[in-house]
Amino acid sequence: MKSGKEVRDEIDDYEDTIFAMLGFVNFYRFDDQAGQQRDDVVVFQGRRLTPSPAKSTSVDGNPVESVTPDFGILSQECTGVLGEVKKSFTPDQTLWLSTFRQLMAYDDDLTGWPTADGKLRTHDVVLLTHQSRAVAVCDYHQRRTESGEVSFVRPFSIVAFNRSDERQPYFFFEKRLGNLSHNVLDGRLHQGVQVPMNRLVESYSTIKLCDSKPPLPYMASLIWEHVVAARASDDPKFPKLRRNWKVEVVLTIDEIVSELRRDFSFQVLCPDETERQPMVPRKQWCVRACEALVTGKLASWAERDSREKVRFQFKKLDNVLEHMIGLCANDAEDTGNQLELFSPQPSVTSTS
Amino acid sequence: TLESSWFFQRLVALIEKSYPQAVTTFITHRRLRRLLESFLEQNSFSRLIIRRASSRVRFAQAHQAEDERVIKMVSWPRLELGEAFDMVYEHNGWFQSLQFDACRDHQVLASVFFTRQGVLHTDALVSQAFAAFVEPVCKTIDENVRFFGQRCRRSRGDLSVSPLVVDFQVDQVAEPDQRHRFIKAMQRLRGASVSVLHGNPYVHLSVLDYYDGSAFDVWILSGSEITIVPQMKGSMAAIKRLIHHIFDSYAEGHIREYEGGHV
Repeated sequence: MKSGKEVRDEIDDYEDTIFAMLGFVNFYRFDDQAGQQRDDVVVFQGRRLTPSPAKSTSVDGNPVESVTPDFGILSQECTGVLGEVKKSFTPDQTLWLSTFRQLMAYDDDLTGWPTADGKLRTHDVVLLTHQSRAVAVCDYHQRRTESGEVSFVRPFSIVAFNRSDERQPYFFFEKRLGNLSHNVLDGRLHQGVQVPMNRLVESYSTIKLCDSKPPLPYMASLIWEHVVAARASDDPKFPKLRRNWKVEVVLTIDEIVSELRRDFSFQVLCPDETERQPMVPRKQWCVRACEALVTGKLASWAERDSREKVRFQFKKLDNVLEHMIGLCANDAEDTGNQLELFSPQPSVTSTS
Repeated sequence: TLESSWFFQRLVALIEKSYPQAVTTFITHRRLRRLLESFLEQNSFSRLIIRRASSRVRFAQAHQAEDERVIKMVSWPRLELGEAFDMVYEHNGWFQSLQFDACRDHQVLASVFFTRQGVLHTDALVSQAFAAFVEPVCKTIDENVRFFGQRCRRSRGDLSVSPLVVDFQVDQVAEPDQRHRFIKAMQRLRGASVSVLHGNPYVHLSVLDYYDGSAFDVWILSGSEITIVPQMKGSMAAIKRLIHHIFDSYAEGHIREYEGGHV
């Protein structure tokens, strides 16, 4: 059973990962001279890209259908960027190679870019990692490059990030290895750039989910506060609701997925509806969160032997997140590492 | 009360029951003082004597924000305007409503009752009181409707956010104990869920209003500002209620548009 602090730390990590991604892509999205966001820069997250025939087989011989970088950036003058965010690396360095193999899979003539023909002439590959691991990761890269296990044809960079908990908190980004094709940004990141958190509040408030499984209480809170409560508030009884009175709300899992995707995912930045874009949140995350709400007697499954429709019993909770943390504390499945982004497993999908 | 029970128990109660379609206004403590000073100066009164005051006073043991309590008080101070405000500041409190005499020399020209919700009663000088209180309050209501309206994401075609900032203009929320006090104050918001996603050093709260289902992200990412981000549903009434609560239970600030995006 996890402590409340452990769950809060997981939520913190999850949010930090999203904030780091948003901070980095904002370097490309924001036009310093015009003082506004650029319309010609496309940002995507978790998009499935198809490898070239040369890289359509993994090192262990399995066919690779697609690769899913954590984030991608497409701009006219700077070509493209594909990146991976890995806040923490396991102390066992023998497992680090899988991360670099994953990055090397992005160093390819991939198909599926949000361009007319789905192709792009060239692009950079970037690893975003926490400052505390950056030196070790750069050293590892150096050694494995010398031994021939790691190599990149396209420009490859390692950028360290860190949230600085000063009185005015900011994310600090600093390039530790390689070069970016965007010369101006490359120079800035060489010196290190502070991104004050209060400059990105708009993005932080609209993107609460990425293509990585969120902590269960966080997911349950999002569903309760932003989907169930919004529906319940349409009921005339809602304003007069007394403690322990309930408003029934019936929703399908697909409706929950659709609303959270529209309102709180990276779809806000990339409204591309192609099959290549991931369905975030994943349906199974929502099912698991609803199962937790059913266990906590805040909902029940509307149909027997089906996990498609939920009958919520909306009631007033003093502190929704705290309630959900308590509700999920004994959840057997919610004990592993939540952040697939941080997992040593590659996100290369295989047919085998 | 100064009014008939019909006024407060029926009419005002009816307005309050119509929330969020109809809401009473909210005047900051700073603005309440300015309105009174302006009334005094424009009509060349020699003084305003506060005869009866309904106020709220914060009581807290030193450095123990969780023990902070807000106590309702009624007093009959018979103090001049400036003295009365100094007194309530010294006691870490604020006025909710005031009954005062407008005096010129030793003559009482009118006895006026005014609340921060915009309720006005006077037994004389009706046009002067109307000009001094009703007109500026109506102007404020109009400004508020324009400023707080259309803030929710649902009202915007691209579902973008429209944050607003409570700017204290001093380092009001720079220290951990101040931020802790702010969180505790927010958790006293009635009829709402206040979840703490992050408490220190930056603050990120998720607020769900049980009066109408409005939802907000509340951030402290600077020593002098609180940023409020209305989510998909964020009614004008709920935004005002939230800001009213921050002003009354924590500290008053200036409200302005959020300016961000630049790195």
